[in-house]
Amino acid sequence: MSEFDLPPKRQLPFDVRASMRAKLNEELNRPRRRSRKSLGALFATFALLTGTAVGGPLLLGAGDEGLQDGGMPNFDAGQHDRSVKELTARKDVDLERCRQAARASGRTGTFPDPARWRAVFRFSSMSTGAITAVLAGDRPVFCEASRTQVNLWAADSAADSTDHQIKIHAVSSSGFLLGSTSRDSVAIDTRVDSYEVRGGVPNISYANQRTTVIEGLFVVVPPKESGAMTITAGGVRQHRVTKLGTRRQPPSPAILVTDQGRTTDRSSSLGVELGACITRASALGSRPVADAENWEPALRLDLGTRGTAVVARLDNQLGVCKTVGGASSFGAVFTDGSQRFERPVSAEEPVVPGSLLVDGLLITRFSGRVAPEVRSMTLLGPEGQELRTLIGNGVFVALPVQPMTLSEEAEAKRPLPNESWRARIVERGPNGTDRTRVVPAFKY
Amino acid sequence: MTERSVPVTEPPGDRELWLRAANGDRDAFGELFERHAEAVWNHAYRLTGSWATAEDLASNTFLTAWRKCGEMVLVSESALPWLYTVAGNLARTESRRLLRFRRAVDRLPDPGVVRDHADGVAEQVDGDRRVREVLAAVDRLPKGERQAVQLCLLGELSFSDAASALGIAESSVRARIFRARAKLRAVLPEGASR
Repeated sequence: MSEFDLPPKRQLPFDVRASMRAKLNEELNRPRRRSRKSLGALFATFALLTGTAVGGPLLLGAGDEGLQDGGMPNFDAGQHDRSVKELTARKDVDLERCRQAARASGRTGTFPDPARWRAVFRFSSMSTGAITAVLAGDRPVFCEASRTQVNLWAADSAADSTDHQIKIHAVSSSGFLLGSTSRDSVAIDTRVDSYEVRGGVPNISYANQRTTVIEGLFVVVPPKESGAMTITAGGVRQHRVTKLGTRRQPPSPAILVTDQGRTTDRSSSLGVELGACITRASALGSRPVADAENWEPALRLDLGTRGTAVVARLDNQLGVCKTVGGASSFGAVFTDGSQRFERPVSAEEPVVPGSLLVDGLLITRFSGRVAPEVRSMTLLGPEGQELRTLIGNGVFVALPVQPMTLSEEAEAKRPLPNESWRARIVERGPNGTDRTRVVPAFKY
Repeated sequence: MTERSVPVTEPPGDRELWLRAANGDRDAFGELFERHAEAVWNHAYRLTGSWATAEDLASNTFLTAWRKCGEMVLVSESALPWLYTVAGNLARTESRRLLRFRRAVDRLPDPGVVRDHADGVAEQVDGDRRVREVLAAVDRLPKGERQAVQLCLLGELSFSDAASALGIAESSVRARIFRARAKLRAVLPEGASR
């Protein structure tokens, strides 16, 4: 503002911003619309998610603000329908395995008769396995099936049929909230508000996400951010807010059945390193590594200042365990939720792409699986690029590896692999001699 | 099952956030606040000559915007021109209170005899004095010119954004600024206007 020689603009001090935000939040938290019900006095201070026995609701609603007018904001019926379609498309895939696990557990009295189980939806988490939400009459059962194991949780009854009340029946081994609410609910909104001091500077932040509800059942993957969690269940006209507080709950006891165990060789130095990394990641991370004993080592990557990483494989799934400063974290292949990336390699398709993402860090998108016959490979870009690759245990990673966060990648406008990329592979032919051919590299 | 924002796409624009806020999305309005709080606060200072008052004015600007956003559609890409306009209107509405405040500030001793030894405090008081001189001159302008000066010269908005906020042609804004500049140069003390 040189026009009038006025003082320069200032950076908004944190305390002023916080003060302004507090006033605004006070206003935002008031019902803005004409009709309002004053039901906010129903604050209870229950202990949350006590992690008790299987069978009973773990949460009866701490800080339940009661039924409120107004549906879920920004509810998109079309998007909801698409989500329901996606969640129910493969709902029966693990159902029989879940039933068998219940029978094999010898705890049949804990569950409703498995013959009566009806799959409602199947929520697939690439990092942990899939959770099938089941109803047996009005009793919810949740079944988490990973590559080698099945975890089962059963509830005595579902939440009430109206009013969007929430029952959290269990917390999965990965920290997912398995619950039910009224059948007319369409979504659960999860919000985490955090306040922390970093480097002497206080900081307020929040995270939001929305979860689809089907037949009153839901699986909420809590945001990784720590802070006070609030969940809102609602339909298109009304909603109910439940404040869960800041304490994250440990996983609920589950009935665990290992039904597809196998022997994994980790005797190599890389195998030992992978095992140690997964152990640290399970112990220190927010979620234990699924099928921790069965990931096989593939490649070791030097990430420079970002530490080191061991790329791992479990059947057709890729994983990566990163270690920096003595702390480890594990991430399964980042597939944008698509199952297509787990298709097997074959002679016709010897290269299947798959990105490596762990703890918010994108190790590389120029990676994937290769057929065991492939001895070496060079990626050929549409503009004449030639990228050498590392290959190990059916996994490839192109060089150089330049890890960055997704935000950094977006800012850097780094070119992404697409179907115009090819792979020149040298593979051992059926007669024992090597042959070279060029095949698609990033067929999505 | 779960939809999460992944920071790989362009953040939503003000217009989208505004629309969502108009439909009751508190988080969208919170994002607008985080995006523009600093600019509105600085602008509020230039409308009041007081950082303390600026905080109240900026707060009230956002509260008003939240209450009103359901009643209007944001036509420009940025919400800032509209927020500045609201701040300007609120500043006028509260002029009596602000006037009392300014008189109180006027009773502060000159910077040379300020007993607070912090240079920052002296600079602030000096800055406040310059802002008040400018504001006094701007306040004497006709309404149209005053609004244009508040948005373009104090708020540093472009002519087109100011025109959009005021609902007039860009050429009209330019004309008002031209006339206002001439008047301000005539009345502002040397050094306060360039």
